[in-house]
Amino acid sequence: MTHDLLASDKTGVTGERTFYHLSLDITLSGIISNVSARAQFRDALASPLTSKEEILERQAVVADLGARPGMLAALVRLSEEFDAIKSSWNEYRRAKYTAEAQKKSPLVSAEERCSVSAVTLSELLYFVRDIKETLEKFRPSSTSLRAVLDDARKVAGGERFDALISVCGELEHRARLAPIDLRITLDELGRIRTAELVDHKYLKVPDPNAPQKRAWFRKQAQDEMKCEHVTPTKEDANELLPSPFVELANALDDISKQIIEQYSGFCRSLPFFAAASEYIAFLTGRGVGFVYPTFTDGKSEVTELYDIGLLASAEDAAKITPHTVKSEAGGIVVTGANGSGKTTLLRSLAAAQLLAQSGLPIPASSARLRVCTAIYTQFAEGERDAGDSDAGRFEQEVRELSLLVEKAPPGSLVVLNETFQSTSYSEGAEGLYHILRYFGRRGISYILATHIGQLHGMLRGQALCLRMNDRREPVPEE
Amino acid sequence: MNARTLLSADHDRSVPYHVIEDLKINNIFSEHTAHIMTHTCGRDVILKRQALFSLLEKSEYRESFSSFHRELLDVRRLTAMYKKTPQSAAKTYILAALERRYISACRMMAPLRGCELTDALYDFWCCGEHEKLLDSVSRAVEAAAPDLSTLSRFDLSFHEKSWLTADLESVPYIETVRECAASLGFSVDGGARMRTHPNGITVSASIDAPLCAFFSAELEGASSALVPFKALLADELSALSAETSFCLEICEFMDGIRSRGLPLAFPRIAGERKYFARGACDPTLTHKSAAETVPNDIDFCEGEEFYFLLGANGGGKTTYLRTVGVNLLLFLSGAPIVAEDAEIYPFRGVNTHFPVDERSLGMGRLDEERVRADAMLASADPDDSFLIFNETYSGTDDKLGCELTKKTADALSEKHVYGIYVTHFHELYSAGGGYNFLEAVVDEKNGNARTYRIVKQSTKRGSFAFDILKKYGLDRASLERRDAT
Repeated sequence: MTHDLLASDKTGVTGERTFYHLSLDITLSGIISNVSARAQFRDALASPLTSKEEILERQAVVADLGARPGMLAALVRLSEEFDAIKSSWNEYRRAKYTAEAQKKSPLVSAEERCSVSAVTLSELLYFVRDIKETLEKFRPSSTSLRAVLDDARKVAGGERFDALISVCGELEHRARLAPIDLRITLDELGRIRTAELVDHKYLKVPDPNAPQKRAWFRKQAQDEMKCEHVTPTKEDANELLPSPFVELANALDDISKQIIEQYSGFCRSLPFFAAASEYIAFLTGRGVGFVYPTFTDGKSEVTELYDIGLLASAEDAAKITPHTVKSEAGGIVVTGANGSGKTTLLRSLAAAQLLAQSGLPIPASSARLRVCTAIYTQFAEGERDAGDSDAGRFEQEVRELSLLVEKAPPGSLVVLNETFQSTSYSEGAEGLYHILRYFGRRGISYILATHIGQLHGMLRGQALCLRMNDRREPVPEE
Repeated sequence: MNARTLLSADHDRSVPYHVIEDLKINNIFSEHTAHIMTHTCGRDVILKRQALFSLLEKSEYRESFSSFHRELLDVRRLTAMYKKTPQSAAKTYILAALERRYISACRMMAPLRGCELTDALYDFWCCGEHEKLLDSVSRAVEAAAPDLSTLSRFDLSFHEKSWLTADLESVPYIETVRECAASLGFSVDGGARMRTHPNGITVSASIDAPLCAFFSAELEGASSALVPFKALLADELSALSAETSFCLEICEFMDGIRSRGLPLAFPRIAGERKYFARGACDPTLTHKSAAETVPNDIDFCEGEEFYFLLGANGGGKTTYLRTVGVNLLLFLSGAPIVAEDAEIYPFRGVNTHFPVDERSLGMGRLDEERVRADAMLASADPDDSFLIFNETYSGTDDKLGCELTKKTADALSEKHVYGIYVTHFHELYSAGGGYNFLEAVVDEKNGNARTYRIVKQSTKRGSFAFDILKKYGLDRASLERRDAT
């Protein structure tokens, strides 16, 4: 069983420009200091989970590790060791193809390879044992981490664990030019089918020609073990001797690969949880509460939701107005004057959806959300980078929307900001109305922030129509 | 009735190998199978082979037949191996394996009975004296088995001096690793792969000598049981594999045809000269499915023995030619043909005349074609041949080409030879002579695809431009329809 704590069914999709539109790239760089952890955090947001069970389990792991910082730190240290074992093994495998390595005799190369495979496996086995001991010490409560512990126990607590470590040790420390004893089997055509390495202590062949022994002992030795003297050629040695070592190395490598496969996802996911801890610490530091959302198929509701972009940039978080939105419809249309906070509301709702579907808490006092299969954004260009107002803007928007219509599956969320503002209100309203109606028929949720107020009239009863008031709060339109 | 070989054949019938090449039969079958197809069959043999191929359509029977074929290949391989292996422990092993396979191959003939060809084979190889022989060999192989088993495991110690000794049953490292791995929930496939040398390593002379010395008694015991039957190493049994290979290749071909959704039929054997097939396709177009293939009818009979085939470039004339030719040769090999239904006379002679660019006979192309055509006409059995011409005399001007073509057609008519002649000499329509014509015309049933059907024509046709325009939806009617949609 592989332990990828970030595993998902990979069906959740975030549009390529979503991070840009929601300014999450800038926001996250102010919250998470470690670059690779931030990248992984971002990757997780880019593949939102679409199963409620998976989201809840991810939440449990985030909470588990957040509550046990010592466990997270120890696991991160172990994951670094794990990476070091992998890279040293990879380095050896690359070095096999260097000119210097090629000069070695096949037997020396094979013995060396076997030794490296033994070292790698024993290090990986110790890694598994350490994982077991760490998790036993901190006693995680989430199902995923307990599954990691159970599997580590199966290996490190297994009956033959020590025996395998011991074989690895023998092969690792086997001296060069030590005796090589093989058990040979022939196939039905009298050809050598297998040549297997056996421990020399099992095969002590007395030399019947040895002169120093007394006749009685010599006879006894001959009776005990009859044998024939062999004079192997160089070809015999080259053909027979390396393969048992290569065979053993392959077997050991097989086990190593399985351990690596089992724990790669686990180790790879730890920086995400480290980043998640930093994110939670950030929310706590800003003095706002956070909540792990619950999920529903019906009415969604979020109270006192903060925009994390504003939280990251505002000097005083207390001055930020949180938003409360309750929606039964699949669509939300937000209107309001310039600077009334339409985009902020849109951004905070979309970011909250992404964070929530990544198993993370959101800055709100309560939240019940629907699970979306995909999240796409389409923002009028120039919203963030002012100055782009070439004549083809409308066409560009239509093209983007047509792509979006093409790929957005039922159950997805489409976030639109000031779409079709570059054309007349009536044309824009007409165009958007049909598109939003299409979304509705297809079961695609949407959030639209727009100046086009007449859409409220057109979509009344089909979408939640909100207007931003003077206090920058969203108020349902009557 | 018994027979040493599987495929009965008529030794007085054959077609030249260039027929196989012209019709591209060598593109769909191995050279070996193509060679067998040059030995065409008469009525009786075709019926016997059709019965065998019908049996081979049953999956269980096919599986038994394939196993039999594999066993024959093993017998052949082991026979060759035994002959070239010097005296050694391995030679005794090979002899034992060969004798085991020999018995097994013969015994695998029993479930193959069910048609005249396989019944006769079984009667020869498994009855009477042969049956007693098989029992004796079986006993010898059993007697040798314990000795060979003893010497199949031993230990080798490489140190300052090297020793060979009996297997001491020590536990190899790999076993320990595998056991530990299994107990901890891991699998070690890579180790298993390496562990077994797929083709084995030949025991060298330097190891063979001590091996033979160490196990001398066992080797002597095994040899004394096995060697008396060395005479079995005659090649007759293994030679059967060539025939089973032919049968299986035809079966594989049939599977391919069926998987593409094309029809297969065992033609009825006509008592009088005729070649009729409904919905026939070119068997060499192996990459095309039924949807991409246009089936055509074939209909040659008394009074309509010979046809000129005309039509647009790319209109499928050569494909039709191969449809006629390849299916005819399949029929004459006893195999099913690619058609819905067919009735064919087993023509004694089949020959082709295709353009040959590279063949240099020290004369111009026209002369070369004329010489070849004359020779082909001279050697054709009167009343019993089917000849196929493809663009013969196309390398000259229309007037001379047309004249030579007519001359050839008249000569064919005189000999009552059946055949088909692809040409682009449209003047033949108006040349008189009462010729029959086939023509490639657009398949109107197939909307957008550019496909043609071959149909009988008796009147002169004009330009093909209309057809092509219509095909691409650019004729007036199509354009008007497009407006409406």
